[in-house]
Amino acid sequence: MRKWEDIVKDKMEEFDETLPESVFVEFHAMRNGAAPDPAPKRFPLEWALVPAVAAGLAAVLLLRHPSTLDNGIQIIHQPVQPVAAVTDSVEVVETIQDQPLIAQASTPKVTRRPDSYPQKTEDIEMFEPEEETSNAGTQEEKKQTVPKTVQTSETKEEKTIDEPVVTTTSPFIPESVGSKPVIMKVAPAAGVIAGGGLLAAIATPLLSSGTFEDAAPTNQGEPPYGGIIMEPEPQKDEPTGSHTHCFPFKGGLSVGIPVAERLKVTTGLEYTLYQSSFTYTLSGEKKQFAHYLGIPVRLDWTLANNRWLDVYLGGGIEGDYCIGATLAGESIKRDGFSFSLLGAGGIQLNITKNIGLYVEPELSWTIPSESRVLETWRSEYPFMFSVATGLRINLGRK
Amino acid sequence: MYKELDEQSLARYCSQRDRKAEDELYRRYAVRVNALCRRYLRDEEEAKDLMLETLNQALDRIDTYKFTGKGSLYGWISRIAINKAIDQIRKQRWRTVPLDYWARDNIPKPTEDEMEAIPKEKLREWISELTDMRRAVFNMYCIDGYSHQEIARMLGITETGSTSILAKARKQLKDKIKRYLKEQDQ
Repeated sequence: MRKWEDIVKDKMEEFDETLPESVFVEFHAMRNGAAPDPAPKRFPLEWALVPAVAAGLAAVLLLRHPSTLDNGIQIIHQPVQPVAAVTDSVEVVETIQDQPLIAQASTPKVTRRPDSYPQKTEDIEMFEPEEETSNAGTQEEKKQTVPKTVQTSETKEEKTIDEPVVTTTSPFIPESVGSKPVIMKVAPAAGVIAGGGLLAAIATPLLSSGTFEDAAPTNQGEPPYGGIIMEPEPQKDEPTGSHTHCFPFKGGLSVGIPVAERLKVTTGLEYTLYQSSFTYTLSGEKKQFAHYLGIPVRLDWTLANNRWLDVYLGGGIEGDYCIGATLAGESIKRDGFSFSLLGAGGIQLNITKNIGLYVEPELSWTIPSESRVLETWRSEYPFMFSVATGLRINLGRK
Repeated sequence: MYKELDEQSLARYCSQRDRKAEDELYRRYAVRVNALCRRYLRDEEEAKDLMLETLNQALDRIDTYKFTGKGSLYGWISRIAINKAIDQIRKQRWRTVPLDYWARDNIPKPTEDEMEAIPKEKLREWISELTDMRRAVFNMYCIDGYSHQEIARMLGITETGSTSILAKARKQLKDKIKRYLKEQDQ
């Protein structure tokens, strides 16, 4: 009994369809050296747009993407409580007449800030009753009391005997006491150079954002303000809590090892840059750069492929280590090892038989770890989306 | 005169760039090669182009042909055609992943009588409806007599991949055959 495939074979070989005469003419022309019609392009350029669009998407996503809302112009009000307390004392010292000494009193030496405002306020308040009750008091009494409040040196006390505390008092609070009074945040002027189609995604730099600040008011040029100078509190340069994380940049060198017709294990080295900005009380905005090297291990399932392109889905795990972290150019404590679970889809443009350029949008979840100490996009969003690009060496591809 | 030439003589004349011998070669093999190309390529126009390219290449390289017996000239030309067809499939076609990848083949094999009742045009239509890889593997293994090892090498896949693809092609064809027979019964 014949196999059904053998019958198919026989039937297929029975075909004797006649060919139109035009085919013979075409054959003749071909043999006579006439150039055959150019074969239609089997790989239309439209397909090249697929990775190009993906690269463009990656580029857009790589643009600075603030993790906190940009509130535009922020007006932070001046603290006013200490000023009110000082005002009362100003009235007391207005009677003092020796104005030229004002300039001396406003020197940095005497405007040094006490430890804290409340203390100063208390000092002033303690002083007030004396002023009110001893309206007809002697100059000597003033001499004794004033130095207590302003904490000037003995020599200055003597010079300011007749001259009141006006010289040493001003309600002005330097802008550095609190947050900057007026901050205009401008959306980041980031640009991505997408030269050469796909290469854009690799070459896309993260351009730093710019923050414009209005000129902060200072006491220079201000008219002398009556009252006691509130000496500025010693400031620590601390983060205000305002921060911005940029979309991470991922690039790498990868190796694809086929394990079945449609399955391949993908591994390699992946570099990730996390860029963040933190606002500090004194120094303003500081940029943090954290560099990571990771080793992803994924199992990829090829959905479709041809000579030029591979489209695939995959999942796996990535272990990474922070190789360097800087804040405003200075090294800071780095993260240790950590692991993430990955799920990725990708498009690979096969430049040669064994080398391809890939663009992989991926979802990852960072496994919580105490070795993570840096604040980055990833610490902000443990379940994060990113786009990785790079070169892949395909082993065993024929 | 040329109609009476045997394969060896025809090849010799062709190698001397005898136009009439070349025309004779076309008349003898164009239809068969075209049918072969139609089995491998779904598109009729592409198949015709492939047939012309095959004959042209065969005539250009006729010096390399070695006569090994009757039918060897067609065998040599058909190998050129198959190689070109496979090359075209490998380079220009998307290989899509079938959704029935793990589906088991529980369709019974058609009997000889059932097969004889099926017109060859229908069979060719169903073969052309197979995906590129399935069609190529089925043609190469079942009709043109290639081994899985050769198929794997030519298509750039593994031998297990070739057997797997063949199984899926067979299943799809059997399914078509059964459906057709069922319709005919009704």
